[in-house]
Amino acid sequence: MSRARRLPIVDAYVEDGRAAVYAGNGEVIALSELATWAWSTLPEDWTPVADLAAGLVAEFGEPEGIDPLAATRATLRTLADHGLAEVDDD
Amino acid sequence: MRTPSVGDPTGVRLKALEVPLLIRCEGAGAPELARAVETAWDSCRDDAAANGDAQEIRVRYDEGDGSDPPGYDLTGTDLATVMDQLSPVVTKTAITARAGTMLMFHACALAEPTTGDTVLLFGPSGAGKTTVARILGRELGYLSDETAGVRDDLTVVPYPKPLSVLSAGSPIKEQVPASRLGLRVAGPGPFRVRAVVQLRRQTSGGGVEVERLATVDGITELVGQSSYSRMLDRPLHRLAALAHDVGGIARVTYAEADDLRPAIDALLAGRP
Repeated sequence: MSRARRLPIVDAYVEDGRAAVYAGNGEVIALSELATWAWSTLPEDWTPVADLAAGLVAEFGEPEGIDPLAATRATLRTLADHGLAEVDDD
Repeated sequence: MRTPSVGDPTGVRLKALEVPLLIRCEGAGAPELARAVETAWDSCRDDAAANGDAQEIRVRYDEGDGSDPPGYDLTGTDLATVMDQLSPVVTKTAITARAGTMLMFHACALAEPTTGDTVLLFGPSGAGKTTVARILGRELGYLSDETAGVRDDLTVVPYPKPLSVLSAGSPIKEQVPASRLGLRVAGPGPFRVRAVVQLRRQTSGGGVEVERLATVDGITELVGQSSYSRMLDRPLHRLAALAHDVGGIARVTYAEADDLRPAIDALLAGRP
């Protein structure tokens, strides 16, 4: 089962539902509302992606035309690409 | 090594971002180099500095010796090239010394002469910071064309360095003192930040467009043009506080620096 966890950051600033996050790797990125929710919900301990997907549906409703699990995975992959999360797809 | 002293003909004392520096000019061309540094960096001279408290930058200029002996921060056989390369060495030394003590931006800083109200215009190389400083700095006070330090009270530390100007027919940028370009002296200050502007130059046509960025987007852009922000406590919160104080970070898209003044005046006056 795939799982994910949050990585340490330098700082984060949240306003109007969106976050600017200063990653530990030095990159600073502005997140969408969905990515902000995913990042802020993601614990520092490994967490099943399926649990996060269930939380996403509870928060935003069923995404149109895309599997919630796939949408969550894509969001987490984006966070991982910017040094904000670690994803284990095993 | 002998001790540098006030009046030393091969030592030029500067202050950059309030960091005392001693430019030690060495090699056969030392006197000529010292004169060039004194002229170009006239607005940053700090002859009153006490001995021993300045960071030393060792520069060797010798037309007839292309060797690169150890121990120098900069060496060269061509004066214009040495002067061109000295500018980033001075800036880097200053911002490194200032790391963790203040916000520092890759920005042009200009102040309204009577009030000290200051606009920071930030952007990467090529955004037009030096050109904007040359144009708007004839009426607004010149504080810097590329590096602005901001204290906790949101006042700017002046760094009126020479401007890098590309001369016709030369691949080397000339280091020209602000006074020779007719730029206005900023006065005693304090220089309080009233507007923060992201410069976006477009190559063709169009007028000047101003938009306010959402705080999250604005500080993301601004931190990308900052130095050593990571060494500050809660850097994004500091930037957000700055953004809120000035009514939001503005993005100005323009083609000609000559057209910018009305937009900058409006932003300095707090108008959207």
